[in-house]
Amino acid sequence: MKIGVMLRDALRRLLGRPLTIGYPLKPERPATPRGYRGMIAYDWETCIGCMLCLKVCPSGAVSVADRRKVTFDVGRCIFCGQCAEICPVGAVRLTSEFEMVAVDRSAYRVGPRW
Amino acid sequence: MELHLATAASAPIVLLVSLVYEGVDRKLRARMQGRVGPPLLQPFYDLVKLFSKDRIIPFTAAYPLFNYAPLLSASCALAGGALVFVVLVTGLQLAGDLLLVFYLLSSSSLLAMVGGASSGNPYAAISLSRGLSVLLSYKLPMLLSVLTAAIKAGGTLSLASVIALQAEAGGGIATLSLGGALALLAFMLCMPAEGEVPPFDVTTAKTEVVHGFLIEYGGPHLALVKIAKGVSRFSTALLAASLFLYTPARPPLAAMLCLLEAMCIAVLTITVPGTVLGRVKPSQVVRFCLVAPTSIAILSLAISLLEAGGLA
Ligand code: SF4
Ligand code: SF4
Repeated sequence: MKIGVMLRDALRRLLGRPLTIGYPLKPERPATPRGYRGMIAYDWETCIGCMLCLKVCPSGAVSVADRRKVTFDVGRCIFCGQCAEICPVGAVRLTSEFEMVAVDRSAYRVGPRW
Repeated sequence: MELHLATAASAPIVLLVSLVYEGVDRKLRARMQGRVGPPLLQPFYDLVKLFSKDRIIPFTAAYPLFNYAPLLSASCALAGGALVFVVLVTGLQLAGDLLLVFYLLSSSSLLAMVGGASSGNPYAAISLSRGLSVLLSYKLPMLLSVLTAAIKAGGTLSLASVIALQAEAGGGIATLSLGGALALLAFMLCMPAEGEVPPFDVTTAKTEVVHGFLIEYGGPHLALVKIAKGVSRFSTALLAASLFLYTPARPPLAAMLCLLEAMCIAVLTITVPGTVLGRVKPSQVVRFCLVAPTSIAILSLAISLLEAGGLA
């Protein structure tokens, strides 16, 4: 009987350890898989202002900032990683940070900090 | 007058216990699915959140019905549950209170559905038509099994006499007689339909009617409908516990035991099926309820009539 199988599985799960972990993530944070594309990190001092990232970004999340630097709008970003791949000096990186909830939009603007 | 006061005083208790059951339900359900699940107090947080939101009333809604039905529905459910609780604690004799509880709990489901359907949303209308047929099909066997308990208690329709009988006999009707056990079985088979959980959740099926009559409700309205639903679920379980599984003890202890039993009944008949079973079609719900629990309930009624020695 299918119901029997379901019941058995449910009981097993009930008695075993859950597969998920509680949130907020204390004490331990789960390890992200290799190559995970999370929050954007921008090293504006290394950036040479070639604007290649702005060209390749499919979602238009990159815009020109003052003094030939760029600003990333994480709210529009789709985390495709194109910008990080094309940057000739490695100034853009997609980190393993996945908790990106914010109450303020300015948290989603990653740009130069003069 | 005292009855009114007692009922009003025990309504918060019933609400509290129903919400605790809902927390237990959500936690157990999550664990059976391999999730950590929300904290036990999540239903309370949910209510606080919902009550702090704005009311939204659609253009197409029939305003008075849409706006006040949730409140009425919640009050009916609370009154029904509180009445059972009061009788359990005080042993108050009230002629016909079994029917009154039944009436209040049915009105609660009905009002919530009608209120939702008056939003003008077609999904809510479909949900109402489904809900009415399901309601009619499972209330019949439920009522029949309640009648079995009433016949056991010498043909009265007062919950207190059924409880008194069990206290005298030294055990629950379901544990002492075949008729009672069958009646409890029929009652429990109807519980998933009462709780609107799989396999009988055709009224509020997300993937079919997009939450059905709940579709246009949000904020305080939704909170009230949720209260109504949670309380009537738990009160039905409490009714089953006090009608069929009453354990004789001193009144406060007996009421506690009944609450505990109600919790177990609700877990068995709402949480477990809700987790492991899939949804059936509306026509299958009606057919099932009108065949399996109804025939069991009729059988139990016949057996108890024989045991009682005629239509006394
Ligand atoms: S990850 Fe993709 S979407 Fe995001 S900024 Fe870079 S190129 Fe644009
Ligand atoms: S591709 Fe790299 S160097 Fe070029 S503008 Fe973008 S971040 Fe700066």
